[in-house]
Amino acid sequence: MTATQSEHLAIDIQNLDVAYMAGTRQVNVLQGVNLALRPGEVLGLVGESGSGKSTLAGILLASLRTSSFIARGTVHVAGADVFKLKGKGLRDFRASQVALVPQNAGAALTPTMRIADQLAEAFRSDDASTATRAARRSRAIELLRLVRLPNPAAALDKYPHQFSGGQQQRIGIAMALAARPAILVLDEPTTGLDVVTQAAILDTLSRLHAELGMAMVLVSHDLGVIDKMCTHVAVLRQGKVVESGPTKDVLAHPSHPYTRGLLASVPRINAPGIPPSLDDAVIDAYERGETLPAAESAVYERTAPVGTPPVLTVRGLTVDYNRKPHGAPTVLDVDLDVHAGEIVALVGESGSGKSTIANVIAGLQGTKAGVLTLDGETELAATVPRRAKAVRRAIQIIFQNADTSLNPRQTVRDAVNRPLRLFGIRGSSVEAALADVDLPGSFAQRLPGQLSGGQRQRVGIARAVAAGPSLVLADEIVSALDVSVQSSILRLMDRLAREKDLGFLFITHDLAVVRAIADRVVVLYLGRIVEEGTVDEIFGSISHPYTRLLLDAVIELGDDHASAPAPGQDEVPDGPPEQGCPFASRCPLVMDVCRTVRPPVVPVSATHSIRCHAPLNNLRLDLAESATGLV
Amino acid sequence: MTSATISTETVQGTTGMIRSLIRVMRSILRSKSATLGFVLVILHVLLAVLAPLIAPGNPVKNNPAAVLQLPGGPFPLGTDTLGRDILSRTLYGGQYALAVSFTATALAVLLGTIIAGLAAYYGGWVDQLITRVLDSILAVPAILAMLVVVTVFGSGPWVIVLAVVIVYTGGVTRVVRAAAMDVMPKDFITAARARGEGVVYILSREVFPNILDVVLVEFAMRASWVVLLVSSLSFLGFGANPPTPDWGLMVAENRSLMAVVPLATLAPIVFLATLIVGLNLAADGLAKSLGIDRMKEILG
Repeated sequence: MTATQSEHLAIDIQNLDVAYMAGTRQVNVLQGVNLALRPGEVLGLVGESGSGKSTLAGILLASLRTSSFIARGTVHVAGADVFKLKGKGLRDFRASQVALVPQNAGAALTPTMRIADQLAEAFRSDDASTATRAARRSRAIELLRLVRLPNPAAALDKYPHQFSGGQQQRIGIAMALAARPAILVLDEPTTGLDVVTQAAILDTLSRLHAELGMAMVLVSHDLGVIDKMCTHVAVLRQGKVVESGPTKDVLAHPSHPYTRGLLASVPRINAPGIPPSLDDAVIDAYERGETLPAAESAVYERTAPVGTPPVLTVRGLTVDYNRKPHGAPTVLDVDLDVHAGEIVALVGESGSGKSTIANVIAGLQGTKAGVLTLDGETELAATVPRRAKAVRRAIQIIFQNADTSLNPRQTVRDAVNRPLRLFGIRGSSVEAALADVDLPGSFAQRLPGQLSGGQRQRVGIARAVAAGPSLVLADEIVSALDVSVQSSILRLMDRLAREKDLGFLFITHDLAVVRAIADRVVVLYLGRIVEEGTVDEIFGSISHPYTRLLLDAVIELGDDHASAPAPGQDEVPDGPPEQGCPFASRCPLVMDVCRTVRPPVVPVSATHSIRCHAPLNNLRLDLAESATGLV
Repeated sequence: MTSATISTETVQGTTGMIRSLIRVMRSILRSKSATLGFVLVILHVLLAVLAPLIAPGNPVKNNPAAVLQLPGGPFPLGTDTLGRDILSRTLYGGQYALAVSFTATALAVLLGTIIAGLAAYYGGWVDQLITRVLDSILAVPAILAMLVVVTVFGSGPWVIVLAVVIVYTGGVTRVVRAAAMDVMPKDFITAARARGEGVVYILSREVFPNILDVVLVEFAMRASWVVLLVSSLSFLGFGANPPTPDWGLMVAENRSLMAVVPLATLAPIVFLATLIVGLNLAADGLAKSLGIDRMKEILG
C-alpha cells in the first residue's frame, strides 16, 4: 500500500509481528496482523484474555511493554509511521492524534490533583482557545458537559475519589477528548461498571462519536457491547486475527469456528440454559486444516430441585454500618431461603449489600438483628469463633477473584488438604476433591502461579467442596473469567449442586448468567429486597421497576440497539432513605406514598413477590413502558 | 494416614522452598555486586569462626618486649602499645561484632515480624496502640537510646543485644506491618478466617510466607546498621570491654598512635568497612532478586 493511501486511513497495520524473547527463543504476541480503519469508523477488538487485544491497542499509541519489540511489519496511525517517531515527534503524536481511555479510570486519574488541573494537562499548549486560565476552565466545563457529568462547574474543583466509578470513567473520557484526537482507543471502558452505568457510558460514547466523528477502537470481551458500538470487528486468538469485517456480517455469519464458539458461549437473557463452552481442540484442528466434530454444542437447561429441605433460612436480617444511631441501616429486614441442591441468585448493582449479606452468613460480619438457621435446626452464631466446627464446615465460600483466593506460596495440595485436615474428614483425598472439579491429580504439586484463571477458580471450588459443605456462598465467581471458561464453571456448579445436594447462594450482577444457572432469584436494591421469585418469573412479564431497569440496561448480541430507549442519567444514591421505598428516587412510577411508607409485599404467585406500591397491572411489561412514557 | 499426609506435605513444602532458594541464588549470582556482597559477608563470618585456627598468636596476650612493632617477622601487621599481635586481634575482632549484631538483628526482626503480624491481623485499636507506642520509641535517636540502656544495665553483650532489640524492633515492625497489611484483605485470608483458623495458623501459614522476602531484606539491611552501631558503642567505650579484641575498641585504643603504627587502626577499619559494604550489597542484591522473583510469579 502506498503512502497516499495510508494517509486516507485512520489506522493501517500491515503484516505486524510483535514479539519478546524468552531466553533465546522468540515468542510472538501478535502475528501477521493486518488491519485498516477509515476515519469515523469504530473497530471492535474481541478475544479472550491473552489473545493480544490489549497489546494491539497499545500499538496504536506507539506503546509496547518493556522487552517486547516489533519483529516485522508497519503501523500507520493518522498517516504517521508510529514506530519511526522519536522524542518530540512521538510526544506530539500522542498529544494530538490518539487518546486512550483505560479500563479503570479511577486508577488512571491522579488522586491528589483536582479535575480541572488534570483536564488542563491534556489541552494542547499551542491551542489558542486554552491560552488563559479562564479559557481553560470554560473548555474543561464544556468537555465535562460533553460527557454528561452532572454539574460540571462544581466538578472541576473536586478530587477523583469524590466521584463514583461511572463518573470517573466519564472524566477519563473527557480527558481523552481534551486534545480533540483523531483516534480514540478504549480498553474495556465499561468492564468494571454495573449494567446501568455501562449502558449510560456507552450511550454517551455513541453520541460523542456521532458528534465528533473520530475513529474509535474499542477493546472488549463483551460481544454485546461490540455489537452495539462497532461498525467493524476483528476477532483475535493467540495473537492472530482469525476473522475481521463489518460487525453485522461477522456476528451474524461467523466463518471461523473460534468466532462461532465465542458467540455460542455467551449466555443470553432471553434464552435460558448454560451455553456450550469453547472447544479448543476443534479450533486447533481447523487451524491445521482438519475438521473435528464439535464435542458439545447444545445449550444445557438446568431443572430446579423439588421439595428439598432448606439448608439456610435467613429471617429479618439487618446490618447497620452507621456508628451513630441516625441514618438508615445498610441492610434491612432481609428474608432468604436456600434449599438443598438449589442455586439461588442474589442480584443487585454494586453497593446493594450483596456481599455484606454473604459475609454475615459466613460469620465475618456482625448483624444488628435477624436469625440465621442452618439445615432447619442450628441457629448460627454471629461470628466464626463462636460457631461449632460442624457449622463452619457446612458453610464454604468461593471467591470472585481466583488470583487472590489462593495463597501464591501454597501448592494446590496444601490448599485443598487444609479443610480435610482441619475438619478431620476421612474417606476423602486431595485427588478426589480435584477429580470433583475435573482437574487431574497431578495438579496437586502446582503453585497457583502455574495455573490458568479457570483452573485456579476450579481449585478454589475444590477447596470449598472438599470440606463437604451443605451451603456454598459463591461471590461473583464467573465475572472475572472469559465467556468460554465461564460456561464450563457454570456447568460444574450445576453438577455439584445436583450430585452433592449443595445449596448455592450465587451473588452476581450479571443477569445473563443468572438466567443461565439460577433456580430462584432475589433482587436487592440498597440492602432491601425488592423482588423475589423463580428465574422464569423474574425474567417474565411482571417485574419490579428496578428489575425492569436492570433488564433494560443489559446489552445483548443481536438486539435492535438503535430502537433501545436511551438510558437515564441517574446515579445510585449514597445510602438508602430513612423511610419509604429505597428505589423512590429513581423509579419511573414513583408516587407520593413511595417516599414515606415502606412498600408492601405484593404476592404475584406462590413463589413470586414484589415490594411495590404500584398496582400489579402497572408493573406488566407492556403497560409499564407506556406508564414510563407518561412520566 | 494422617502422619503420611503430613510427611508428604512437609516434603512438598521443602522441595518448593529449595526450588525457590535455587532461583534466588541464581539471580544473585547473575549480579556482580550482589555476589561480591555475599562473598564478603561469608568471608567475614568464616574468618571470625576460624580465627582460633588461623590467627598466628594470642589476641589478648601482652608482650612488653615487642611493643609498637612495625609489620614483619612474627607480627605480619605489627603490634600495639601492649605488644599484642594486630593481625590476631583483627581476626578475632569480628567475633564480638558479628555475634552481637546478628543475634540482636535476628531477635529484633523476629520480634518485629510477630508484632507486625499481630497488628495487621487484629487491626483496630490493637493496631493503633502498637503503632503509637512504637512510633514514640522511634522518635528517640538510636545511639542515645542505646547509651541510656547501657548506662542503666551495664555493658555486657546481652545488654547490647537488648538495647538493639529495643531500638530496632519499631522500625522492623513498621515495614513488615505495611507488607502484612497488603496480604490481610486477600481472599485466601478471608477463606481461612471463615474456616475458623486461629491467629497462629493464619499468620504462620498464610501471611508470613507471602512477606518472607520483605523480612529477609529487612534483616540484611538492619544487620549492616547494627554492626556499625555496635562498633560505635565499642569505640565510645560502652560495648566490648578491654582486653576483648573488637574492631571498634581497637580503633579507640590505637587512634592516637596512628602515625606510629597506622595498621593498628587501619586494619580494623578496613575489616569493618568491607563487612558493612558487603552487607549492604547483599541486602540490595537480595531485594532485587526477590523482587524479580515476585514479578515472575505475577507474569506467570
